[in-house]
Amino acid sequence: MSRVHSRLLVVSLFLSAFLVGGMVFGQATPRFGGTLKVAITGDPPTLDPHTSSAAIVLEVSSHALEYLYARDADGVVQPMLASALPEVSDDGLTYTISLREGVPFHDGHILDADDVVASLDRWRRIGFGKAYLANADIEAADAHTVTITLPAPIGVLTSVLGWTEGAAVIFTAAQIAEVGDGPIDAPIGTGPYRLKEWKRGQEVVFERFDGYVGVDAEASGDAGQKHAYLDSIRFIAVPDSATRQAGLESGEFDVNYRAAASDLEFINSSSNMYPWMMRPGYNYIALINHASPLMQNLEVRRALQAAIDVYPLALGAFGDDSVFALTPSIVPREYGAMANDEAGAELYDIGDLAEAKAILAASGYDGTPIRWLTSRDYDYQYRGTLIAVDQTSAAGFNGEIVVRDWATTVSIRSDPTAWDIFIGNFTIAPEPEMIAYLTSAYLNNYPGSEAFRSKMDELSRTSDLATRQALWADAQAAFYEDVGAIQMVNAFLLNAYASSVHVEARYFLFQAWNTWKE
Amino acid sequence: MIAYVARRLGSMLATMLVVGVVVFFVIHAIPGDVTSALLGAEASPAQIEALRKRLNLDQPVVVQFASWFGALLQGDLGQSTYMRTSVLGAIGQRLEPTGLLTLLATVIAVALGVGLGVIAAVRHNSIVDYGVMFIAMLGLSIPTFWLGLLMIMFFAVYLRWLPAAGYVALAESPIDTFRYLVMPAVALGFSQAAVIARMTRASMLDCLREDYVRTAHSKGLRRRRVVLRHALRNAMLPVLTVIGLSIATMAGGVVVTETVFNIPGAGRLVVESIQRRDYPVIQGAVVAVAFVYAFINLVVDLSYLGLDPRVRYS
Repeated sequence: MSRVHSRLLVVSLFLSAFLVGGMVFGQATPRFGGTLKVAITGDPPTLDPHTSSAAIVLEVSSHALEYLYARDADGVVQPMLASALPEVSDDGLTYTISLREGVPFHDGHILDADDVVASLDRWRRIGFGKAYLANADIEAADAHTVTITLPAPIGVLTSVLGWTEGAAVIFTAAQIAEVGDGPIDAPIGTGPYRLKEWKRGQEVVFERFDGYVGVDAEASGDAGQKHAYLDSIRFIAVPDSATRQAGLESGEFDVNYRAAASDLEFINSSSNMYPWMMRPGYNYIALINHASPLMQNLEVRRALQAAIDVYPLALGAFGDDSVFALTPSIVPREYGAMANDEAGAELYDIGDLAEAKAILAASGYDGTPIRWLTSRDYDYQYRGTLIAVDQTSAAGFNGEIVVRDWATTVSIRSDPTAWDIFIGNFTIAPEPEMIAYLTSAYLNNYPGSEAFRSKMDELSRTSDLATRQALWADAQAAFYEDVGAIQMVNAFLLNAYASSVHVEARYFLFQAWNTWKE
Repeated sequence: MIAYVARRLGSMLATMLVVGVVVFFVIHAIPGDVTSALLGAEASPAQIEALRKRLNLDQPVVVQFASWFGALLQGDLGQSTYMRTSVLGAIGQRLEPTGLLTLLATVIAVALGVGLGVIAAVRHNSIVDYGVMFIAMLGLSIPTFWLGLLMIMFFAVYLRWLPAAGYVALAESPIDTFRYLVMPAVALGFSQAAVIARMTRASMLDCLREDYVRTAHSKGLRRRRVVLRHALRNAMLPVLTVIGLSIATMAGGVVVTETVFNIPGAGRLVVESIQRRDYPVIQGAVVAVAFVYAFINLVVDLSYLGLDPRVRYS
C-alpha cells in the first residue's frame, strides 16, 4: 500500500471511530429537558396509594412518593428513604429503621421520624399494612430513627416495606394530620417529581423537583438513583387502546402505557417505536372459589387442573406468546430468591384429556354447570375463559359462562355463592405470604389444606432465607396437590415507547425517571 | 307568548325531576358499585365493605334516594364519588369540549346537508342528484366510530396533518382547538348531514313545484333568488325540525366520538361514570341531558316564529 493510501486509511479509520463514537456517546448522553407524554388507560381514582392498590395509582404517584425501601433489578431490597436495611432483634420482634438525613419533601419540610411514624400508622390503619402491623407499636426513637415492635415475628416485613404494590409510601406528618384517612389527591412526597396539576378526567402533570435528594447508588429496578432528566411528565387519560396506539404512531404521545399485545408485531416492525416488556407482570390464573360446594370437591378441581392445556389457552387469550411465560413458579423468577420451578411442577400444565376424564369419572361429578365468571371489558380474561370452557367441556364438564361488565363482575366475585371460577391477572409478590390468593382472607375463600396452611404459617414466622425457601417449596407443592388455584402463565405488561425516548434502567412498574427524550 | 314560554319551562323542570327519579332507581338496580374502581381490582372484601360504609352505599336505596332528591330540589347535584368534585363542576368543565364539538358538527351537518340537499333538488334526476344521494347513503351507513378511526389513520398517522386525539381549551389556543376538533366534528356531523340532505331535498322539491315559485320565475326574479330566498325559506320548516332532532342525536353520538378521539367531554364522562358506577355523576348528567333536549326543542319551536309569520303561540 502506498504511503498516501495508508495515511488516508488511518485518517479514515480515525474519522470513522470519531463519528461512530460520537454517535454512540451522543445517543447515550442523556439530554435534560422536555415533556414526556404518557397515554394511560384512564384517570386514576386517587394519587394516594394508602387508599387504593390499583396499579395505575401506584405507577403514577410513585413519581412523587417514595418508600423506605425498594427492589433492585435482581429483586433484592435496597434502602431508599431508609439509610440501611433495618436492624432486627434476635427474637425478630423489634425493627430499628434509620432514615437518611437531609431528604426534603416537595414543600421544603425535611424528612424525619415523625413523618415515617405517621405514614406507617396510616398505612396500617387504612391500607395494605393492616395485615402486618395492625397490632405493632410504631415509634420515633429519635429524629431519624423509627422502631417497630411486633407482637409476633413477621418474616417478610422488610420485603413488604420495599414492595411497590405494598404501597407503604411516606407522606409528611402534617399532610396526614390535615387530610386524615380520606384520599390525598395532592400528595407531597420526596420523589424526583412533584405534582403540578391534576385535571380530573384528563391528565396528571408532574414537574421536576429541583430539590430532590436521591440515593447514592446505581439505578437498578425500582431502587438506586432517580435522574429527573425530563422537565415534566404528562399522564394523559386515553381509555381506548386503539387511540393510544394511534397517538403513539402519529407522535401525539411518547409512551403507550399498557399497549395491546395485538399491536406488538407492529411495534416491533416499526422504526419509530419499540416495545418495553414489564416483567414479571401478573400471574394469569384460574382462580377457584373454594366457597362453592362444587369446587370443594378435590377430585373435581384435580380434573379441571388436568384438563387445562396452558399454552394454547394463553396464546388465545393474549394473542402473542412474547407477552407471557409458562412457569409453575408462583413467585416469579424476576423477584429472586423465592422462585421455585420444581415444587408441584408435575401437576402444572398437564393438558391430558384422558387423565382429566378419568379423574372426573371418579369424582362423583353430577353435571352441575361450572359458573365461569368473566368480563369482556378485559378481552384476555374473556378469551381465556372461552378456551378454558372448551378444554374442560372436552373432559366432560358442563360450563356456564357468566359475562358481565367489570363493575358487576367485581360485585359478583364478592358474593361467595355466585361464581365458581374466574380467569384473570393477579398481583404477584416477592414473598408468598404477600400473594393475596394464597391467603385465607381473599375473595377465593381458600382455607388451604392442612399441609399448605401449616407450611405457610411457619413461613410467615421465618426470616432465614434457606429455611424459607425449603418451607415454600413444600407449600407450593401442597398448593398444587390441593389445587388451590390453577396456575397458568406469568403475563407481562407491555408499554410502547417512541424511538426518541430512552430508558436507562429496567423497572418493575412504570417509571419516567431515568428516562430522557432526544 | 311569555305565558307559553313560562309553561314550557315549567314542564321542562317537571320532566327533569321525573327523569332524575327514574334514572336513580334504574342505576341502583344494576349490580356493582364504585368501590371496585376506587380500590383497584384486588381489594379485599373487608376493604370493599369498609369503603361502602364510608360512602353510605350500605344504606337502603330509599334512604339514599331521599338524601339525593332532597339535594336535587335545592339545585345541588351532589359530589362525584370517584372524582370527589361537585357534579355540576365536573359537567361544567366538560361542557366546553362537548358544546364546541356539537356546535362544529352541527355547522358541518347543516352546511353540508342543506347545501347538498338544495343542489340535489335543483338538479333533480341528474347525475349530481344521484351523486348527492349516494353520499347521503354512505353517511347513513358508516358508523361514526369507524369513520373516526379511519380518519385518524389517514390524517393523523399517515399524513400527520392533524392530531390523533385530545383537546386543547379555547382559552389556550383557538387554532389548536379547531385542529383537534375538526376530525371528530366531521365524523360526528357526516351522518347527520346525510339525514338533513335527504330532508332538504324532499322539502325543496315540494316547494319548487308550488305556484308561488312559478310566479316568481315568471316575474323575472333571478333563479338563485327564487331558490334561496323564496323556496328554501319555506322548505326549511320541516328541515328545522330534523336539524333539532339531529342536534339531539349528535349530543348522544358525541359519547362515541369523544371516546375515539379522547376528548374530555360530557359524553365520555357519562360513559366512564357508568363503568365506574359513579352514581351522582350519572344521575346529574342524565338530568342535565334531559334539560338540553327539552331546551333544544323549545328553541326549535320558537324559531318557527321567525320563519313562518303564520305561527302564533299563546
